[in-house]
Amino acid sequence: MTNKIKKRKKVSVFAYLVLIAFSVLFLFPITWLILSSFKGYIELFKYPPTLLPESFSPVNYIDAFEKGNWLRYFGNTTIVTVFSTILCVSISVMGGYAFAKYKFKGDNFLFLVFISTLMLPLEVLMIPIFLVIKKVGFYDSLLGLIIPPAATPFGIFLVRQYYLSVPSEYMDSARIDGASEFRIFRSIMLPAGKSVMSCLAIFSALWRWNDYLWPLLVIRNTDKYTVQIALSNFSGQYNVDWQTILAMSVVTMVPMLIVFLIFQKQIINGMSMAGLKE
Amino acid sequence: MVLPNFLIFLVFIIIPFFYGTIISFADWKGIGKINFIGLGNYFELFSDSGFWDSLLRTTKFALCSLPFIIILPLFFAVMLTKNLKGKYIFRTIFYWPSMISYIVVGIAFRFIFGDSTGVINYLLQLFGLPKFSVMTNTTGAFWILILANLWFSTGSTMVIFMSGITNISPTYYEAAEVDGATSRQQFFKITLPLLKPTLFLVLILSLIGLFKAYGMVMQLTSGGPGDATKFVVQNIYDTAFKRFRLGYASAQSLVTTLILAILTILQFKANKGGEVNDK
Amino acid sequence: MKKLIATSLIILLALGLVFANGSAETSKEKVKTLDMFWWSDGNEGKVMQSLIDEYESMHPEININMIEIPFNDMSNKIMMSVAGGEAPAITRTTEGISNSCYEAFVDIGQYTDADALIAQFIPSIESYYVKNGKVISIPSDVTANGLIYNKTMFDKAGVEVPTGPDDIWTWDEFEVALKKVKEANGLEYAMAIDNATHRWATMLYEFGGSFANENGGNLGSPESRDCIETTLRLFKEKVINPSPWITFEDAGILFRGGLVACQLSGTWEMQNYNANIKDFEWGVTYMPKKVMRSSVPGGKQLAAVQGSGLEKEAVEFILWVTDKEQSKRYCEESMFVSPRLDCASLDYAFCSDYFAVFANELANTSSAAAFDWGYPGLSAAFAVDATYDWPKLISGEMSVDEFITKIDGNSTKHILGK
Repeated sequence: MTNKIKKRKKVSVFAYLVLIAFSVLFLFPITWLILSSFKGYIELFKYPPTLLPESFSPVNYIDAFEKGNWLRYFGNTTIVTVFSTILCVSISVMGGYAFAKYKFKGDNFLFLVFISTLMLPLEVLMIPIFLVIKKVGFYDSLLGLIIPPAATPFGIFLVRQYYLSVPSEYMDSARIDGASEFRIFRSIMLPAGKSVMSCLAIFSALWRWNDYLWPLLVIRNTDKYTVQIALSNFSGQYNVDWQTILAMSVVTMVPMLIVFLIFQKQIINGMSMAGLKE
Repeated sequence: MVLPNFLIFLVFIIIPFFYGTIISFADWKGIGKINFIGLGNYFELFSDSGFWDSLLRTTKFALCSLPFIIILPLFFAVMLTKNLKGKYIFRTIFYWPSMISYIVVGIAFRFIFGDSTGVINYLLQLFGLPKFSVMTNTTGAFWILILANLWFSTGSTMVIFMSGITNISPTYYEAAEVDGATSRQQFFKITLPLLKPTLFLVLILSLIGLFKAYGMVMQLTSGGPGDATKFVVQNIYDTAFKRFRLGYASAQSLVTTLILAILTILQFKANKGGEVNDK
Repeated sequence: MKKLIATSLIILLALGLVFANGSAETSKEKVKTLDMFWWSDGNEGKVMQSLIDEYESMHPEININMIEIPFNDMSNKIMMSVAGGEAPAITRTTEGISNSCYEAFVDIGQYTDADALIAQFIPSIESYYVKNGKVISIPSDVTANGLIYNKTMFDKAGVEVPTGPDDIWTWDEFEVALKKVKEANGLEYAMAIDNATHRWATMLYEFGGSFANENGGNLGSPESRDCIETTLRLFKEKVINPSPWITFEDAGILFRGGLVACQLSGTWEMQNYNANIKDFEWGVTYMPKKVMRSSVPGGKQLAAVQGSGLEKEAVEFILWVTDKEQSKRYCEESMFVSPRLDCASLDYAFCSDYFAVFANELANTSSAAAFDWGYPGLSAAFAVDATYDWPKLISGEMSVDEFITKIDGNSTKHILGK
């Protein structure tokens, strides 16, 4: 059967060319960023502009690491990203699955409330959110960066839409076999959701990693700063320390790249509908 | 099962939201006394052409962007879920821009499109061609933003589509293959209809994302030239933190949210929540 | 799944315990910790830290904890902290930040003789730190707007800049000079002005105009209007590069790259240009006058915030760190101009002549500047619209009359309350 899929189609040369053309366009600004992270200040703002740095000396990277307690910032950000992502995936899968597969009173209304709040510009609610965070006791604690953002409506929405297209017949036949609802969820629906869980993990990790607003709200002391806040501190009123910012933003991409490389395979391999049928 | 999510959500979003609603009936600088003025902010809002103009601009921006930011990722996703050589490399490349922090996006695009210091204009001048003043004219800046947003969001949307496509049972394609359907027919007769829940998701999320465009805009045009690309969130942010009128800003964000929520609900009803039509 | 939830809950609980422990211990200690909000443009954070270290060794019971905040979110962060009862003891501020947050700042006049304090600082910035008769902060450094020029290009055109304060050029002479320099160096534009608000205001005051005065908006006055029209003409004649105002391109990059021959900017560029301009010679000269000479003072202040419970200690530190000896050290090492009258001439490692020019500009500054930028909340009323509307003026989308009516309307509403 898998052979058949493999045989399914040879992509035409034309499609290849299109993909390559887009790749070049997509990569150009990134290439510039990476190359520029090796440039000195004068070189960075030279006119006429240059693409290649004069030398690939890692001096910006070394200087940047001396300018801040980056190990700490990366450590904090890693803790936040990992735990928040685990939490986000767990509660979103439960919530999204419930919305997709069970009818309960007011389900549509509740769901609409969830996704409507996606539209709130959080920037304006900063002071009210801050007050709540203080009341709950999350102020100046990494918990405040882990728990509140994990309950994203995006997660519920993503998972719900995914399970909508998983046929309910599997559940019905399992029910006839006498399986409990929990068993159905655990041994049929959860494995079937591997793909969407990977997808959500990629996003959640990325958002927590690059988040600026929540750390700005929650964190007071420098020793709990995350990478993005630390980065923004290099942009002052009159001067921006571009060398540090460029070098460190290249470094911050690496973990996210790894996360993507790990989970993107899961997205594709995760679904094994064929297996379910047997 | 919805409970854990809902509880966190209630505490950190809904409660602040109600607090914001209360503030919207007041005159408040963010510091000092809160002065309740009844519906004053809402009356002002209805005659505030600056706000409605920005909402209109945002709508225009969203509608112009939407086809691109759905079709391109869909194309990539379809291509890259096939058995294609180098698909992992392509996926990584297209996803890469999503990983970049906003703080450096501005400087990269300025390097390319900058009016006096950008590389495009430098090259044009080198060949004796007239300057391509894309950032100084209204339409130019508008399309630069669409382009930048496309560049930034394609990867994420592609990943969502990929997850949706792999959820389609291969048996459908096998049957189609037996019937001798072309790849185009397969796409329109199988992939697209079965992808409806994902399409609905992407449509809603993209629309909301576009309506909330802010970080990217600030980095690239800061709303300029003039206020040609000043979208609704920037307008709200200005009101709150540059003019220091938090009450009025709350009223603005409430009305914006309400309008968007109604739009979403209408789409939800029209699409039946994006459920797959049973034949 | 179950396992996943269970593990994550356990880990969260563990984390909670760790953090709960962490916050409990501070209250037991006798040392008073003063949080201080800060941001850095250059090395001034390090200089301040060394002053803090010195203060801490003199006062072992005091611990000052410097917290860096991204500059753009400084006002938000102060507001949130005050609203949530987590006010920092001290914050660095600018006249802009103070305008929005001064109601939360401690009146330093309660702790020391206000008049004697004010008398120590240059008069042109009084309105930046005295609001409604209260001393809400103490200036730590002062900036001045002025003209930075490309000596190499001016020499090539044979244009001489003023030799001293007795030899100030007029705007007409300056315009001729700019066109000459542009011609001789084959430039597209001769000059760049950082922004359409604080920097352009320098020109506005030189023309005898201002954004506002006690009677409300003042852009409609003949002097202000003359300045608006002249600026507009200079854009049209390609003397001034409009790109920094329209696309927010950094005027400093244009100057450093040799794309313009001079830049209306200020003292804060000295450190950067001294280190980073190697391709040509540059200098600082006097701004031209029309009706009068002017600069625009700016700078940073230190404020104690109400509600920290350590107001007295905070004020004591601020008074110490802005006193003569400390101010001298702070400003010399950070390349700032001191706001103190008794620190008028400082020894800088470089650019001393240039700082002298800036100081002279500051000494000859229109009083309108202090009103525009110091009147509580006023700059927020005109600056946001000026930024958005100048590009429309340049493109012709908006007429001068519409521009004046709109911005003056905002200022008048703010000042007279109608």
